[in-house]
Amino acid sequence: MESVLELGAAKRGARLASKGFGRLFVWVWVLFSLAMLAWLILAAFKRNNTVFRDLWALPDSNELQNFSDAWDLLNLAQTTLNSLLTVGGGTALTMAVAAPAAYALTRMRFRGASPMVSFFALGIGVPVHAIIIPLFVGLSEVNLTNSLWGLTLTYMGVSMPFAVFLMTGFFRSLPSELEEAAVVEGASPLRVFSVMLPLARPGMVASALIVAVGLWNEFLLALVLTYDEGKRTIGVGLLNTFGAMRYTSNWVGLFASVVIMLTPLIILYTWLSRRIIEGLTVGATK
Amino acid sequence: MASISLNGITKVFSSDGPPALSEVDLDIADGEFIVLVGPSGCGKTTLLRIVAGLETSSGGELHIDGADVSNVPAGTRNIAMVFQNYALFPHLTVAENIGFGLKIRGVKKAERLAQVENVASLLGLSPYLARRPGELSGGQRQRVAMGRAIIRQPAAFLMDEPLSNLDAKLRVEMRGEISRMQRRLQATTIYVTHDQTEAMTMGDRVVVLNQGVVQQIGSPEHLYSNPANVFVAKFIGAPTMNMLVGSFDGEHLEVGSAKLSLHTRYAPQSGEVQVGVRPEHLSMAAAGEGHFKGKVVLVEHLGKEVQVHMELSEAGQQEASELIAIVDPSEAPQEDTEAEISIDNINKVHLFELDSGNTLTKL
Amino acid sequence: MEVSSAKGVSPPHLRHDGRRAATFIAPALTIYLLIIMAPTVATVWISFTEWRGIGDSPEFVGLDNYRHLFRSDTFWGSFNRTLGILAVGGLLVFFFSFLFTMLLREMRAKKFLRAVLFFPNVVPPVALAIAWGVLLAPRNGLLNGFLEAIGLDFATRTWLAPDIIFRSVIAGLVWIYTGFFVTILMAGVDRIPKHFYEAADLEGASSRQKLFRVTLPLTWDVLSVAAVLWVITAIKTFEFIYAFGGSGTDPSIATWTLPVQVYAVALGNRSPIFALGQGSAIAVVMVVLVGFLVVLIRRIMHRRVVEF
Repeated sequence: MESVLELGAAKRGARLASKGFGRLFVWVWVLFSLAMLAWLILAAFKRNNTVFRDLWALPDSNELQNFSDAWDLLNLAQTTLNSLLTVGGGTALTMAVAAPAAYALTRMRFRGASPMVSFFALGIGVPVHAIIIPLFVGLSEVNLTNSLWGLTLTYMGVSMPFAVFLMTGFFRSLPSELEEAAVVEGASPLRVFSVMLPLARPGMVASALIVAVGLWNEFLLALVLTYDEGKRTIGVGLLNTFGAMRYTSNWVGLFASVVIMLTPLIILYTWLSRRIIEGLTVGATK
Repeated sequence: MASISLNGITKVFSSDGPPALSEVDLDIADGEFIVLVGPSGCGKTTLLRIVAGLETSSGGELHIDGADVSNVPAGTRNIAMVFQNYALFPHLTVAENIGFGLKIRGVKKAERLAQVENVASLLGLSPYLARRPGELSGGQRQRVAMGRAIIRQPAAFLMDEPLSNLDAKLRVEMRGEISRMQRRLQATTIYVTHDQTEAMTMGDRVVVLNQGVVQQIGSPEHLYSNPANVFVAKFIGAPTMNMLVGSFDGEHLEVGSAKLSLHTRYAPQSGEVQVGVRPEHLSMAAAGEGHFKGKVVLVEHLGKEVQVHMELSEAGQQEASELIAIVDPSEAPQEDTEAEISIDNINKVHLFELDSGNTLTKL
Repeated sequence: MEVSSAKGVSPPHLRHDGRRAATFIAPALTIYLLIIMAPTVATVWISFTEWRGIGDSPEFVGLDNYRHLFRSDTFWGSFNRTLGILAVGGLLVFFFSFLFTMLLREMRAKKFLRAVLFFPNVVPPVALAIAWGVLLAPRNGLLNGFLEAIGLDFATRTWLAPDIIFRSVIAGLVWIYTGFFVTILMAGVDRIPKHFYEAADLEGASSRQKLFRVTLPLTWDVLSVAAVLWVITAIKTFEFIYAFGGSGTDPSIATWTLPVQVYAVALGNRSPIFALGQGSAIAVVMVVLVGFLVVLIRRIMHRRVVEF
C-alpha cells in the first residue's frame, strides 16, 4: 500500500516537473520575442558604429538623429499617407461591401447560400501570386497601375474572401429571434439589416482590424502595382530601406524605421489584441 | 382585436419524416385566450410561427378577421409576438425597445414617447426607460417584451413560452399579470407552453397537441373532466392520472380487486379497457373496504396534502401497477406498510379503449 | 388540400429573398470575381503561353512551360522547399501549438502569453525578416553573440550560409506562425464546457486520457480548419522569405520557394526577366497543390460535427 502511494507520488512529481519545464519553455519563448523587440527598440537609439560592437550595451545617448534619418529613408510623410489612404480605403470599402454580403449569406434563406459561402471561402486559398500577373496587366489596361486607386481596389479584392468568411461567422452567431422580432414589428429587410448591424459591431471591428493589419503589412502588391517614388506605401519603403542597407550600412536608421512602423501597431495591439485574436477565431470555431 | 381561424394547417419539414403539423383546425374568437400545450416537439411553436408569418404552412388556410393572410408578410399581419428569450435588442434602451414597432410605422416622436410612457407605467417599467436590456432582471425583461407587444394594439398577441426563463416564484406572479393584462386589453392571444399548469390557469380554451396532431380543444375544466384520450388524460393534471387495465362489459367494471357498477352508460363493450383515476379521486380505506390493496412505497408530504405512492399487490394482469393518491395529511399511512385505497366517486373514473386510447363513447 | 414539399418553401417574410439577397451580395461578388477569380483563370491561360508582358503578345505554347518546369532543378528545388515548410514547418508549428495550448490552459498569465505569442502575426514580415536577420547574422548576430557570451562558442554557426539558411527560414516561420495556431487551437479548446473535464476527473481519467478522449474529439473540426489554414499559409507565405533571404533585395536561390520563384521569374525587381508564362505555370502548380491538399485534409479529417 505504502509503495503504491510512493509510486503515485513519484509519478505525480515527474508530471509536475514536466509541467514546470513546459511552462518554463513557454516563458523562454515569450521572453525571447520580447527581448528581440526590446533589442530592436534600444538599437534604434544607438550609434551605427557601436551598435554591433557591444550587442548588450544600453544606448549612451538619445540618438534621435536615427529617427530623422529613418524619416527620410522611408520618405515617411508620403509613404504613411499612401498607406493610410490605400489601407484605410481598402478596409472601409471591404467592410462596406462584405457586411451586407455576409448578412445575406447567413440570414436570408435562398437556394445556393451555402455553396456561395464556400465559393467566397475558396478565395482564401488563392495565393496572391496566382492573380498578380493578370492583375498587373489588367490594371495597366485601364490605367490603374501606379495608382493608389488601383491599389485600393486590389486591396479590397484580396481582403474580400477572408472578410466575408469572418463576418458570416459573426452573423451566424446572432440569435434569429431578434431578427424575427424586427420582422414581426413590420421592419423592412433593409431595416432589419440596420437593426442587426450594430449587434455585429464587435465582429465588424475585429474583421476590419484584421483586414487593416494585413494590408498595412503587405508589400508584394504595392511593390508590383506601383513604381513611382511618390506612390510607395510604408511596407515598400521599409523593404527598400532594408535593401539599401547593402550600400549605406545605416543599420540604426533601419532599426529606427522598424520602430516607426511598429509603433502604431504596438499601440493598437496592446489596446485591441483581445478583439483581434478573439475575432479571428470566430470563423474558425463556428 | 381580431378573430383567427386555422383550417387544415399542415407543415412538412422533410418529405421523409412525419409532418410537424397535420390538418390543424382551430377557430379563435375575438378576445379569446388560447393556450397551445404539449410536450416538446409536438408542433406548438411551429403552429405559432405559422400564425406569425415566420414560417409558411405546407398546406391549409389561415384567416385573420376573415381575411386570408397566407401570403401576407409577418410585418403587415399586425400581430405582436413575445419570444421565449424576449428578443430584446441589446443596443436599444427599454424605451426604444418598447417603441420599436411604432418607429417602424413612422409614428411621430412625441406621440411615440407618450405611448411608451403609458405602456411603461402600465407595466411598472417607468423608472427603467433609459436602461438597456442587459441591466434588467429577468422579470423586467419579460415586461419590456410585453410592452413592445402591447403598444401597437395589434390584432393578436402571440406568446412563445414567455415565462420559461423565469424562476418559479416570478413565473406564478407573471402568469397572473399576463392573464389580468389580457382580460383588460381584451386581446386575442395565442399562448404556447409545455407547462400544463400554465395552460389550465391561463387559457379560456386549451389546445392539446401531440406529434403535430390536435388531441383535444376545450376549456380547462372540460379537458380535466372529459379528456378525449389517454394522452390528454395523462398530460392534463398533476400528478398524472393513474392508468390501470380492467375489464368492462358496458356496465360492470373489474379493476384490481374492485368490482364496480358504473352509473354512466357506455356503448356496449366487452373485454379489456384502460381505466383512469385521478390521484385526487382516491382516498385511504380501512382494511377490507378498499378497492385496491398494496404496499405503500413512498409518502410525500406537501403540507396541505400528502401524495401516497402505492405498489399494488394483486395487480394481476398489468406490470406497471403503481397508484398515486392525494390524501389528507391526517390519513397519511406509514411507508412500507400494507394499505388499502378506494375510489371516492365512481363517476370520476375514466374509461379508454385499450388499443386506441380513445375515451369510450358515453350514451 | 395542397401540400407542397418543404424544400423551396420559405417563410413569407423571406419569400423574395433570392432577389433581395442578390442585391446584398452583388457588390462583394463583383469585386471578388474581378480581382480574384478572373485573374486566377487568366493565370491558367497565361501559363500555356510564352509572354514577356505588356508590349509583347502572348504566344500559345501548350504545355511547354510545364514541361520546362518539370525538367528544371530550380523548380524542383523551390517545390521541395515549399513541401519542406509544409511538412517540417507544419510538424513543428502543430507540435508547439498543441503543447502551448495545453500548457497555457492552466497558466495564470494565459491571455498575456497568448498575445505575445500571436504578436509576430501583426508585425510587418519585413520587420520580422530584419529582426531574424539581426538575430542570425554570422559575425555580430545576437544569437552567436549570446552563445559566445555564455561560453558556448562551439555552438555558433554561420546561420545564413547557403547550406543551412533554409532551416533558419523554417525556424523563423515556426516562430511567427506558432502563435497564430495557438490562438486557433485555444479557441477550440476553450469552448469545450468545463463540465466534460470535471466529469472525466470524477471518472478518474488521466491527463492523457482527457487529451485523447475529450479534447481531441471535441476540437476535431477546429483542428481540421487549422490544418487547412496551415496548408494555405505554408504554400503562399512569401514576404518573410523574400525579405529575409535577400535582405531586402532578390533572395538567394537557396531560399526560393514556389511563390518566391514566381516573383523572381515573372516580376523580379532587380533584373526582371518577365517570364510571365513560366511564372504563371508555377502559380498554377501552387493553386493545384493547395486545392489537392485541402481536399485531401477534408477527406481525411471529415467527421460528424459535434454540437455542444
